[in-house]
Amino acid sequence: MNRKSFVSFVLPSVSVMTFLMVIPLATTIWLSLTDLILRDIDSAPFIGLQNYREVLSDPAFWSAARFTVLFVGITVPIQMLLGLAIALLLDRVHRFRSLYLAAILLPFIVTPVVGTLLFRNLFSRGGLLSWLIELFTGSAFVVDASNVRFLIILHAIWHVTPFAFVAIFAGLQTLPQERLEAAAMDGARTLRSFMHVTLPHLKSVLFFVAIVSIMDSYRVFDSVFVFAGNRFDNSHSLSVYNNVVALDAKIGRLGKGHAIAILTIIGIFVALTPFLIRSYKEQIAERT
Amino acid sequence: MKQSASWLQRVGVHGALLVIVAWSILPLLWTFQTSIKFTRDVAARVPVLWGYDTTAAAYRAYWFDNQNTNMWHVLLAVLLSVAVTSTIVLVGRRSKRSWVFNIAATAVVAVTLYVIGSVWDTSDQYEFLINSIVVTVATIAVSIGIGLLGGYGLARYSGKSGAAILIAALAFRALPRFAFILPFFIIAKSLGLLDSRAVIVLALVAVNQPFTIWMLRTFFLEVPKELEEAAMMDGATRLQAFIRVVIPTMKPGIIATSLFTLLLAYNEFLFIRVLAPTNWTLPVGIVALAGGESSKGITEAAAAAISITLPIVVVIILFQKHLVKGLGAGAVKG
Amino acid sequence: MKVAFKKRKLAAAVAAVALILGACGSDDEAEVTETSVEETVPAVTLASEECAIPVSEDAVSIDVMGWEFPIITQYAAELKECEAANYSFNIQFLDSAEAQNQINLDLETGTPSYEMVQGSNQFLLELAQKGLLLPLNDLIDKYRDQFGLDNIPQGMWDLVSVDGKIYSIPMVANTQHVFYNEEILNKLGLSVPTTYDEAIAMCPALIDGGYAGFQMMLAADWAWQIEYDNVLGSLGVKPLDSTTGQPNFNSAEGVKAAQILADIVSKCGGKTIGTYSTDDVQNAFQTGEYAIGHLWASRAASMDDTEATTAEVLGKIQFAPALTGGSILGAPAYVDGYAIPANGTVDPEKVFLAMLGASDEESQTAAAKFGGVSRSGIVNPEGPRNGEALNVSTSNGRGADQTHPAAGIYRAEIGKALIKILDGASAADAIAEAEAAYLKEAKAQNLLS
Repeated sequence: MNRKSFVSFVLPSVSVMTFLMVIPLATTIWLSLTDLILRDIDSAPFIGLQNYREVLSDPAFWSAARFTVLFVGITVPIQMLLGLAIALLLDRVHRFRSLYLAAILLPFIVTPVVGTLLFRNLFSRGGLLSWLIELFTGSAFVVDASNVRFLIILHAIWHVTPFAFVAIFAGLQTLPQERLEAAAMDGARTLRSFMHVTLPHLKSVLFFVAIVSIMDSYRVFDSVFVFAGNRFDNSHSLSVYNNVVALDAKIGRLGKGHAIAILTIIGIFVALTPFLIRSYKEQIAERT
Repeated sequence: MKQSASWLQRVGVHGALLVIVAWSILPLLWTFQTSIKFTRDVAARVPVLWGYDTTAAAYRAYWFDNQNTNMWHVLLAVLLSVAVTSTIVLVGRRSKRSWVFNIAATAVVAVTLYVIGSVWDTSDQYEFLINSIVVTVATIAVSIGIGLLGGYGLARYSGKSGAAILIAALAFRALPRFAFILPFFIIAKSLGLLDSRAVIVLALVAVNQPFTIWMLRTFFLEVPKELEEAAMMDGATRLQAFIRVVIPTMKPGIIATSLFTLLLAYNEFLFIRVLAPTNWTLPVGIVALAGGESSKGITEAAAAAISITLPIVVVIILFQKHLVKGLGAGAVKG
Repeated sequence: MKVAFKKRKLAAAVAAVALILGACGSDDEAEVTETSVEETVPAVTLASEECAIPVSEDAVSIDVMGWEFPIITQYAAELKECEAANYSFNIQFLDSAEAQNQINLDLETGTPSYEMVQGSNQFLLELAQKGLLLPLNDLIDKYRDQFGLDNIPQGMWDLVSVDGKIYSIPMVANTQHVFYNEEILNKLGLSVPTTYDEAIAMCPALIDGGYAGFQMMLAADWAWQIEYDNVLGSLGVKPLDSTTGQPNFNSAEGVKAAQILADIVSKCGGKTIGTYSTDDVQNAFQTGEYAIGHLWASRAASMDDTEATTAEVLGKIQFAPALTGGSILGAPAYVDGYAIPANGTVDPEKVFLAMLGASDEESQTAAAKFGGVSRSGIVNPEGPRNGEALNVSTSNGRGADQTHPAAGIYRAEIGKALIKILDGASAADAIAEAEAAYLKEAKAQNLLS
């Protein structure tokens, strides 16, 4: 395809992304340097880096950052391991496969806000799991500051694992049967054939799942918002903290909120940049 | 696919899978139970697991304003509509012009929604359902429309700027909602477009573009170049070849990408809540019930949860193979 | 191939049409219904008996936002009856914190999407202070006689006024007072407490008996603020100086009030006091988990709800006035009502008429089934049994929240600081922290004098 054709084909897409993502992002950067407040969105006096200084010295920000990193660090590996395990299991069965698939996919399909409520139901007053926990520990189970983080992470694993599972499972389907058989004939036992045949084949899938999971869990909002809302400050993710500062009418500091957004973005790109560079190199390699 | 295992191994595998299935669907089952109980049985300290009286009151309260609505009549209407729609689709599969039948089926669904809305005294949540459907369908249509062009261009062009666009798109997908949401709010407000579904659709289309073009590009890569080159040698322009020859082969890819767009649009919470003060979609509607201060009760929130989840579950079950294929293509190649 | 091409074109056309139809416009459809019932008032066609307001010539579309509890649900139904007057309503509820947020967000932009907002007097006056609501004095005077607005006591009108400007028609009278399960208290040989000290003293007996101690709703920061103002008020102190806005609450009484709440938490609260929402507390009473505590008067009616209350508890819940730390009862005076945002696009008189239609005698009688209403002399035989507790608590109570411009900041900061008591902070530290945060923000916004 020549350059001219290329430009006309990608123009709609690139325009949409430019006008509706690049420009708003630039606006956010600009507004983070102002003292915009909710009460008065017509005036935005320039105040330089003051918002940033305020955010970086706000313990609530660091608490949110810590929780977000903890959240990503726990959910991503667990979700990938579990997803791999489930994919390997399902790969071994043929009967009822689509039934299993549908059921296991369910947590991923459910709206995150709704899924959080479903989950919360199990642990709240009169819930099945809170009652079971009470039976085992002898004292009433109540969601409080010490266990809410655990619940948020548990819910995240429940919600996101099917995504890893489906991607890896799909990847497994493209594994050529002959290579496994060849390995078996060479005397390789299951674990070795897994390490030397299956896993290398899944490398690009796992890379893909890792990068998407890190992105998505870093940005988590819906479930934390419903679970922790206006209580449990210590388990706010960065997005929820952002929401509290910017859009909670009692505070309503939009300028500061924008600064938090920019800092959040810087945070994710610190983690993502190696992945992005590697992806870019792969793309270039494919074209030469 | 693997060598046949011993009986014990197979039982073990199925057992493990059943445990996973149970873990996956337990919250849904529990909430469904909650939605058909009376409040006194739900709020009991010790959960009542069986032998409770059931009621459809929670569903009635969620969907209808009139507390005397006969839920059996409603159920009948819904089942009738489902039966008619399924028959049309199934018959259509055997015919060459299946697209006519699909459109007819869509029309039946639309008519049903309209009829239910006018015959019965529906609540605001029903409006939200309509909003959800409209926003989702519009987002899919626009996203796929633009994405097909972009994905194709990125698949066929081998210059470096293609790679740059792809990586930039990936980078944009990583951004949190708050990177855009406040400028959207301010601009929409000053243009007087706040609360319009058009703005929400635009926002969702934009945020979804990176994923859409990546996924569609991967599917396009599997379509051999020769296909459109043959058409172009016969005198068609690239665009004509694209539309007439390439797109028809992309049906699985389009369905797979549409499914993911569907999930994104239907499940979106934050954009709607900030950009649409009154024109809510279902997810925003349920948060109203769930704060614990509404005294509408936990049963109505449960009925809401089940009602919201049911449509997408049905859709995904119908199209699950495409979902798997879509992720497979996107993951392996991308 | 040609067929395929045409198919795509048609699909695209349908999609485009659907997209355009769906995305354009978010208008509600105006319903034109019958305009019957000619009253004796000449030349004006009133909509119906339920909503005795003039039928509007043009369709009026009203979006309403508020937070819901049973009596508000009933008033929303009363509002909807005015659709007979060529109005259409889109009434939306969120939980109270979210609704307040959403309303603030919307009104502060200067072009509100809501034509009507519903809230408590404390919230409405916060909005009024910021200039976000329309004063209604002229409209009230115009319709005073026709709709018998003098039937609503002056005290209630005062609760929704600032500097003589009235911002709402009060419809609901609400407060917090003691709910108790008579059977359980009798079984344990306990009597109903009247002071905070008595309440704390009875907790060991309750806990030994297997029940929760004296409970309060302390699961959210705004809830802490309300109870704190209750206790402080009962000690005879207002949190801020009404003219200067200087804080009074970092004082002996202020710390004592926080300490009382801390004691309730540690000696009575148990595990649930910091996590049960208002709905949870209501359910706890309905299922016999709670024996005694403070709850909103508006929840009294649900204690007789056969679907939600277990058989053992039905009929056993009784009501008593709120506790006190001195001579004033620690009960707030809240009225709820509808208000009209300033700078709206719909004719305020039309919106006001809808408010009138929803707060006439017929509407209030129906609403009285669920709680306290504003008009004097309204009685509903199916109404809740807490009338006396409600009246005593309101008339001898600590009154409404303060209306000083900086009061909103105080409420935000005190709640945020006090809720840390649940995590172990001391009362004195929490008060000190609240005062520092309040002064910092209030000074930054130039609200102190």
